[in-house]
Amino acid sequence: MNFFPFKRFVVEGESMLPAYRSGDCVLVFRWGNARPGDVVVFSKGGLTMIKRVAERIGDRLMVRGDNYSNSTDSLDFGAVPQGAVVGKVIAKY
Amino acid sequence: MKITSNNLAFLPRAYAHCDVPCGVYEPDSMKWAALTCARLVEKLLALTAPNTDDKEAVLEYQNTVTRTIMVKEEYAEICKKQILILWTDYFKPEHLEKFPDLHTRIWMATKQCSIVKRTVNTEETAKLKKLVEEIASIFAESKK
Repeated sequence: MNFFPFKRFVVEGESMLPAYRSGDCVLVFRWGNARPGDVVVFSKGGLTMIKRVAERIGDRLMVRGDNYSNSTDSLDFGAVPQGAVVGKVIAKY
Repeated sequence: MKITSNNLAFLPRAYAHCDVPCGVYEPDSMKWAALTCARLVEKLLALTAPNTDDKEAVLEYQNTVTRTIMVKEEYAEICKKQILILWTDYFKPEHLEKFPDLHTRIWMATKQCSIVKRTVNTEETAKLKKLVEEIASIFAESKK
């Protein structure tokens, strides 16, 4: 298993506008726990997704997209367990 | 570091998407469905029943009326479904702050779909078009 602390992804979709656009590359830091306000990359229903943390409830995160009218959020697909979180976004390029 | 399309192709994707579980939300389907119902009612009202002695003509008339009504029923249902998709999957509690009468509007529009099924009346289809148009405006406003 790969414990290298950084991982890169390319964003696809509009639900994190204006912070992240389709085609943006993000650098994710895999260690530590994400806090409300952090943007996280996580696994849900077989897809790798990127959203912002709205709330932490125990070891689960409620997430939502910044671009409110164009995104689903935890109200739609439930809280994200810590185990499904890849890491938090620390840079965009 | 310059990102070329080659680099991007090898990076895993993080989706900021709505495709799980929602689809693409659009107001056009309900508008077209309402318009279809209006056109079909106009067509029905323009038909004249033939002389009852002419069996073939009577049958053809009944065939046309029946088929037109079948499509009207189908599209009134499509209209209702499309309105409800926006209500259940797109609009969120926060939208109520800006559009406090949203639930009532959805209710009256979906009820109007049923009325259009039950009637052959251009005023009722015009009312459906108007109610749907108003919801489409709210949808457009909510995207700003």
